[in-house]
Amino acid sequence: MPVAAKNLSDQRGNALGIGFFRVVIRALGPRCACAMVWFVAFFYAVCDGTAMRAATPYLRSRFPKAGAMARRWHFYRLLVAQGQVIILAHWLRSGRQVPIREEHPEHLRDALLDRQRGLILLISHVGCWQAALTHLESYQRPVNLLIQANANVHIARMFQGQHVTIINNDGPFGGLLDCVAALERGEIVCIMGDRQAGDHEEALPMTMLGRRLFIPRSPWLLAARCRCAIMPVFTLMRGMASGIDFFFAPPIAIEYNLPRKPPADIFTPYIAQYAAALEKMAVDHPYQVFHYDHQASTATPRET
Amino acid sequence: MDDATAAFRQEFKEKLITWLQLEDKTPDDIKDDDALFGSGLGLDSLDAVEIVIALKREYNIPQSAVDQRRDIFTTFATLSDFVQHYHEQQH
Repeated sequence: MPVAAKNLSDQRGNALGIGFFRVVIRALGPRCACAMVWFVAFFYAVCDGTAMRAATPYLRSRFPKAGAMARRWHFYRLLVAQGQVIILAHWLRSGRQVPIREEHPEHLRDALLDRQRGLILLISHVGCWQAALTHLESYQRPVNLLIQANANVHIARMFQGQHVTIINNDGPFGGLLDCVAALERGEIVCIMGDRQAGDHEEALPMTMLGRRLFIPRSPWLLAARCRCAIMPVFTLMRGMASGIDFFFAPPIAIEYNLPRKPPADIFTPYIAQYAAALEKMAVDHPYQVFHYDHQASTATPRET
Repeated sequence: MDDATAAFRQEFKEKLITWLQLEDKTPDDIKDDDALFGSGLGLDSLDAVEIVIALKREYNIPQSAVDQRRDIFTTFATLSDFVQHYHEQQH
């Protein structure tokens, strides 16, 4: 598998370290584990050149005036936040709960009023996105998650026994027909909106903080073809795993009457809305946007 | 192959070209045994979505019927025959 397609976070940490943190989380709680992350992340911030290189494009665009030392500090903060988010995800996975605040939940409620119509939730590599899936259970609508095949083992394990149906993108037709079926049943389909599922996937360019990213085209075409709403949702960790803030962005109104096989630029205005929402997250919460180089698809995306 | 099947396949090739905007193809370019995806016609997963939606729109074939028969996407002939049989059963 090419390095670009691998999930960087899957290659970090070892069994001993992960086991240690699991024990700490169980014995002392997530806040104590989050405090320890400051020390562990320092090691990675100093020694992990691969991760630093992967984070640099995002850090350069988010902190354009930062010099090398300042950028290293921002990298450290990014690693700390990511470690703490992983702890929060494990805490939630074990069935525990944290206080939740919702901003504009009416957007989601309104979108779910029509029980015949499905909904695409665009999740992003921002904060604790796994929490979104756990929390959606309270909306009493079946939830599906289209995921990249190489993330399957970890994600499937995380949601095992829960209400989430995993759709693999390495299945027939990239899992898209399963998404269509779920949307036709009026269910929620969560799709990672800011990462291509490999370089083979058709991608659309968007600009975030002056940096060009390539994002998957499939959620937008699915929304248009299935005549359903598409809505970005962001889940931010509050403090040291002490809570979660949900931001439900307004649904993006897609033109449903598209020509057959619509040209890629037809989606540009909608993607710009998503990019603006994502950019606001990066501005307001810079250390909770986990856009590493492999997610930015700087290699050779199949642009449409 | 009987005349009805041949006629349906010819018509279905034209529809497929229109749905998917295969501007560089004519019905004669599509062989019955051509694989739809990958090496044959070179369609991709987004094309599959277009086909499923078009089948519902033009032939009233529900997604659930397609869902149970993913093998119909193997070649042009398997897809065309499935649509023809479904269409005949409904009328």
